[in-house]
Amino acid sequence: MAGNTSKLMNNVINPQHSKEQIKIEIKGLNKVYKTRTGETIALQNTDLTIKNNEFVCVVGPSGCGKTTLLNIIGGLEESTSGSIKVEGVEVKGPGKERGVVFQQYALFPWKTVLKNVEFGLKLRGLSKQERQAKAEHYLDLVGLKDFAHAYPKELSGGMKQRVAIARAYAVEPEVLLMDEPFGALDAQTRAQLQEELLKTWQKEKKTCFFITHDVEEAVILAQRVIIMSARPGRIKEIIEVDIPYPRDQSTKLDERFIEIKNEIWSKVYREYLEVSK
Amino acid sequence: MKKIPNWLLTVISIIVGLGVWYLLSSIPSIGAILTTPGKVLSSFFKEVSSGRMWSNVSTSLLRVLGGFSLGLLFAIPVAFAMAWYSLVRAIFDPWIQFFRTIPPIALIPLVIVSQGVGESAKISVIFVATFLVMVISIFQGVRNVDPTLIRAARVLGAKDKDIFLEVIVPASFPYILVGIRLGLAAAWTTLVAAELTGANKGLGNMIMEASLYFRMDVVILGIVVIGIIGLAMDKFVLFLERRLTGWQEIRQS
Repeated sequence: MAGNTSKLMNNVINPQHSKEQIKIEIKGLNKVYKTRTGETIALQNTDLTIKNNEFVCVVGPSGCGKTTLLNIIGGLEESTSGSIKVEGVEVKGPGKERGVVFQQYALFPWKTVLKNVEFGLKLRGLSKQERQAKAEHYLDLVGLKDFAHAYPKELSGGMKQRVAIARAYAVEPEVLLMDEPFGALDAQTRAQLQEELLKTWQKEKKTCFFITHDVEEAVILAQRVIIMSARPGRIKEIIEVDIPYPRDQSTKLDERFIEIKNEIWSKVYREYLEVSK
Repeated sequence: MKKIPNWLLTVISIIVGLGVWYLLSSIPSIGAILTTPGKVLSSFFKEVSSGRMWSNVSTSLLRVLGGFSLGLLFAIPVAFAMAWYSLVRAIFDPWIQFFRTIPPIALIPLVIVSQGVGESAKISVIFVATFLVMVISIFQGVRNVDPTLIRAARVLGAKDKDIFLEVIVPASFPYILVGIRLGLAAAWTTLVAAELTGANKGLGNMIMEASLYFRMDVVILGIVVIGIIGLAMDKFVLFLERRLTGWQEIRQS
C-alpha cells in the first residue's frame, strides 16, 4: 500500500514544482470589503500554488472567503492587493481558459439545453455545425444527449447541474472553478455526480478548483484539500489526499479515506466552533 | 364527487351574472336605470347597423393603440437605460416617481387647454399614462435579472453587448409583457376618461352623449363594449406570454 501510494505520488502529484507545471499562482492576496460598519477582511495574505491538471478542494466555514477566492481567480471580483497569475499571466477579468460552475446552476431558462451548452461556443464565433457537434459531445459526456431540446425547467436539479458542467466543459477551459456545485442536490444525486465528475476529469484533464462544505466530498474528489478559516479568511492548512484514482463510492469505505476524512473533519469542525463563538 | 371543469364554471358564472342582471332590471325602480340585457342587445344592433358603433370603436382603438405604442416605444429604451446606467437612473427617477403619483386624468385639463380636444390631446394623455406604468414595470424587470446569469455569461466570454442582447433582453422579456398588460389597461381607462371630458367620437363620448338623453341602454352598451375589448386585449397579451415565455419556471394551476 505504502509503495503503491508513493508511486502514485510520482505519477499524479508530481512533487517537483517545475515552472511550466504551475497553473495558478496566488501570492499575498488580500480582499477587504468596505461595509457601513467598517471593513471586513474576506481574504488575508493568501498564498497558493495549484499545479496543472490538479484537483483541489476548498473547505471551511461560511464567511471564510472561499467563494471570494474563487471569484477572484475567475476574474469576477477584484482583489484589494496581491497577485494572481494563471499560466504566468496576471488575472484581469474572466478569461476563456477559466470556466465556472455555480451552485445555482445559472442556466439560461429561455434557451434549450443544447443552446445553453452552445452559448460559449457561439461567443467564440464557431459555426452552427461546429458548435452543435461540440455541444452534443459534451452533453453525451454528462449523459444528457436525449435532453438536448428540453428547457431547463423540465430538468431535475442534478440534470441542470450536469448541463452547467457540460456548458463549462464545452468551451474547453484549462481551469474549472466550481462553487459548491452539488450543494443543493440530494445525497444520491451528489454521489452520482461526484463519480461522473471524476470520470470526466480523468478523460479530459483539467485543473479543478472545487469549493464544498462537505468534507467527504472534498476527500473523494481532491488530490489536495485546502482548509480555510474565517475572520479573517485565510488558508489554514493544506492536506494531501494520497488515495489513488480511479475513486468511486466504495473508496469511501477505504481505511485511509476515513482516516483523512476524520482528520480534515476535526480541523474544519474546530473552525466552525471558532466562528460560532 | 366529480370535479366540475373550470371552463364550465366560467360559463355558469357568466350565465348566472346575466340572469341576475335580467332579474334586477325587471324591478321597475331599478329597471329605469339598469335596462334589460335584451334592450342593450337591440341597441347594439341599432348602433352597429347605423355604423356609429364601428366608428366609435375604431376611433377609441386608434387612440389607445397610438398612445400605447408611443408609450412602449419610449418606455423600453428609457427603462433599459435606467437599469443599465446609474447616471440615467439618477436623472429620470425623480421625474418618474413624481408623475406616477398623479392620476393621468388630472392632466387632462392641462392637455385640453394646450392641445385642444383633437386627437393629439387624447394620444398625449394616453402616452403619459402608459409610459409611466410601463417604464416602471420594465425597469423593475431589468433590475431583477439574476446577477448569476450575467456572471455565467461573462465567464463564458460574453462582452457587454452580448450580455445585453443575450441575457438582459430575454430575461426581462416576461416583465415587458407584464408592462404591456398594465400599459394597455392604463391606456383604456385613461382614454375613456379623456373622451368623457370632450370628444366628438369614441366609446367614452358615446356614453357621455347617451347619458345626456338618458339613453341608459346605450350607456350600458358602451360600458359592456369597453369591458369586452379590454378583456380581449388582455387575453391576447396573455396568449403571447404563454407562447413566448413558456420557458419560465412558474407554478401551473
